[in-house]
Amino acid sequence: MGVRSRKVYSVPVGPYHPALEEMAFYKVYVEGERIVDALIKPGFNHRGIEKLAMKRSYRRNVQLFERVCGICSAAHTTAYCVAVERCLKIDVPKRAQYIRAVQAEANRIHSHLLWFGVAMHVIGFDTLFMHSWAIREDILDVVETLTGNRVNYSVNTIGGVRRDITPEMGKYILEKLNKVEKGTKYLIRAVKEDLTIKARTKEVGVLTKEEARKYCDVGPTARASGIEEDVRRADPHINYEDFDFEVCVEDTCDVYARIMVRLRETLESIKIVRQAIKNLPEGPLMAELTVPRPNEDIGRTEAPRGELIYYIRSNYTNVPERVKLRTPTFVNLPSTKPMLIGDKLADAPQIIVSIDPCLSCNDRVIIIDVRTGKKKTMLLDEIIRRRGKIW
Amino acid sequence: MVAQLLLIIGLLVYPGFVFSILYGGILIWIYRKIRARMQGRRGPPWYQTYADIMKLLSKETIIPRNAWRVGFIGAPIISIVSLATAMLLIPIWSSKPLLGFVGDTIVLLYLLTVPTFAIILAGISSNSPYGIVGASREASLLVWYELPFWFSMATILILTGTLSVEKIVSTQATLGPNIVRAPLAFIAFIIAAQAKLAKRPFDIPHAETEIVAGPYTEYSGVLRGFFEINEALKWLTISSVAATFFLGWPTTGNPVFNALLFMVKVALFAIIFAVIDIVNPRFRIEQAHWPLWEVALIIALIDLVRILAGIGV
Repeated sequence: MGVRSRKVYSVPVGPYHPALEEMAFYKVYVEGERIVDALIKPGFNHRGIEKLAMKRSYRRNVQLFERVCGICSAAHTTAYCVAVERCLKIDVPKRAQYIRAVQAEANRIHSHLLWFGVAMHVIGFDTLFMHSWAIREDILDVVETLTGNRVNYSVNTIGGVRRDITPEMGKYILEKLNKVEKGTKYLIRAVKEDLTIKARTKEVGVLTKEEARKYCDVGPTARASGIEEDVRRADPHINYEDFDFEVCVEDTCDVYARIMVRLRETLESIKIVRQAIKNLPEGPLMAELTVPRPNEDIGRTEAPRGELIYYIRSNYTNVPERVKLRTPTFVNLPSTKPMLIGDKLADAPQIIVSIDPCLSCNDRVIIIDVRTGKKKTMLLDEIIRRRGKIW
Repeated sequence: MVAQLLLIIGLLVYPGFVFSILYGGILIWIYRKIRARMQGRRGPPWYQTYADIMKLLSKETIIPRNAWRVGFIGAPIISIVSLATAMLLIPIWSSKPLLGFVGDTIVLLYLLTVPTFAIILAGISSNSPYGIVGASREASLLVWYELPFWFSMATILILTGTLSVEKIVSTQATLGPNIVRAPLAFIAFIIAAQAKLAKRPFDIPHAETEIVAGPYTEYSGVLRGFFEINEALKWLTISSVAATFFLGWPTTGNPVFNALLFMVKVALFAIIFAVIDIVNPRFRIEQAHWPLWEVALIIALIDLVRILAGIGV
C-alpha cells in the first residue's frame, strides 16, 4: 500500500487481478473504503496490428482484423469490410447484408450474455453466471451453424459474405433463438426480483448524462446514462433500416442500468435475427470487385461495446495505405474514473467491468527512453510522425 | 490408564482429528457437488477435497519476507487445533460427549470463535494489502455475527436450563427438538452460522473478485493446505453444533445407529448452508449489517424474551 497523503491509501487493482479478465492497471486511492481518486493505465497488450495491416492485402486483412478481439470478431470484420467497400465503391448485394446482420446480432447476443455472466461473477453470484453462460452456449450453436466456427467467424469478406443461410439452417436458428429468448427473459426476471443484486448495483458507479456526453461515451454505457445513440440507427451500414428494433435507453445511470440495457438489447437482437431470416432476399452473395483508386472513407458499426470506427485510405495497390481503428473501449475507459470516485472499494471491480472493457482491442504503444527511464504511451501515427527522431 | 488411552484415541482418531478431516472433506464435497448441479455443471468426484489437501501438503511453502513469521505459521495451526478440540465436546454416538463436563457449552462456543481470530491474525501477519483489507473485513463481520450467534445459543441454554451439552441433548430426547421449540432462534443461528462459515452472501472477507483471497492471499503449500483442512473442520463443527443444539432429538440405544444418524443430521445442515450459499450474491461489507443485526439479532432476541416470559415453552 503506497501512502499518498496521511489518510489516503492506494490499492492496486490489476494488471493481473481475478476481476479483470484482461490487463489494465488501476491505482485506486481510498480513504477508508471510499474511493477518492483513480489512475487508469492500459497498455499491457500492444500487438502492432495497424502496422501489420498496412503490409497485407485488403482480402487478407479481414482475417487479421477478426483477431483484434475474440468476443466482437464479427463487428470488427463488418466495420472493416464496410470501410473498404465504401472506399473502393463496391455495392454489396442485399442478401449478403442480411447475412452480415444475422451474424453481427448473434455476435452481440453472445457478447452481452458473456458480459452478464462476468458481471454476476464480480458481485459473487456464480449461479447466475453459470446459467447465463449455459444460455450463451445455445447462441454459440447458432453461430457454429452459421459459420462453422465459434470465435472467429470468417464469413465477411470484401464485397459480401462467404457462406449462405439455407432454409434448414434458418429453421434450426429460429428454434435455438426461442431457447435463448426464454433464457434471457429468465435472466431479466432474476435481476429485477433479486434484492441483493439490486443492493449491489443500484446507485453504484453513477455516470450522469452530462458526464457521459463530456467523456463522449458510446454504446450501452452511453445508453445506460440516458443518451439515445446507436450507430445502427444513425448510420444503417448493413441495411439496418429494414429491421424494426428499439434502441434501449435507461436513465438511472448506474451499474443496474448498464445490466438492464444489455439484457434488453439481447432481446432486440433476437428480434432482428428473426426478421432477417424471415425476410432473407434472394440474390448473389458477392459483388463484383473494383480496382483500387486513391480514396479514403470510414466504416462504422455498433459493436457490442459501442461505436467501432475503421478508417481506410487506398492507393493504386491492393494494400491499404493507412488503416486506423478506434475501438469503443478506447472511448469508454476514461469514464470509469468519474464512476469510481465516491464509491466503495468493494464496488471498484464491478464498476470497471460495467463498461465491458475489451482491453486487447484498445492498447497502444509505450515508448521507453532507456537513458532517462521515462515511459510514454502514444498512438501509432504519432510514432510514424516521429520515426526519424526515435529510431 | 485405559481412560487416558481412549482420550488420546478420541483426540487423534475418532471423533477428533482424522474423522473430522475425513467427514469434513465429504461435507465440502457435498457443498461443491450441489453447487455444481444447481449451476448446470457436473461437479468434482467425492475424493476431490482430499486430493486438493494432499497436493497442497506436498508443495513448497513460501513465506513472504515482510510477513510476521510466528503469526503467519501459527494462525492455521491455532485454528485447526481449536476446531478439532471442539469436536471432542460434541456427543456423537450417545448423548455424552467424550470430554463432557458441566459448562462445556461455553468452552465449545469459545472454541468456535477462535478460528475467526486466527484468520484475522493470518491476514495481518501476511502484511499484504489484500490480507489486511480481508482481516479488517473479517473483524467487522465478527462483531455483527457473534452477537446473534450467542443470543440464539443463550435462548437454547435458557430453554433447556443447563450449561452442559449432554443435558441439552437428553432434554431434547424427552421434550422434542429445539428446532421446534425455538424456531426463531434456529433461523438466527443459521444466518449467523452462514457468516461464521464465510459463505455467500457473507463471503466478504475473501471475496475473490475484490481482494483476491483476502487473508489467504499469501499462503501457499503446506500452510494453505492447513487452511483447507481448517475449512473442512469448520463445515463439520458448525453443522455439528446445529445438529446437537437444535436437532438432538431422535436418539436410539445403539451407538452405531446414533453415530450414523448424527452424520446424516450434520449433512442435512451442511446442505442448508450450501443452498443458501448457492442462491445468493455477495453483500458489500456495510450491507451485511442488515441481515445480521436487523434480522437475525432481533428474531433471536424475540425468542429469548418469549422463553424468559414462559410463553409457549
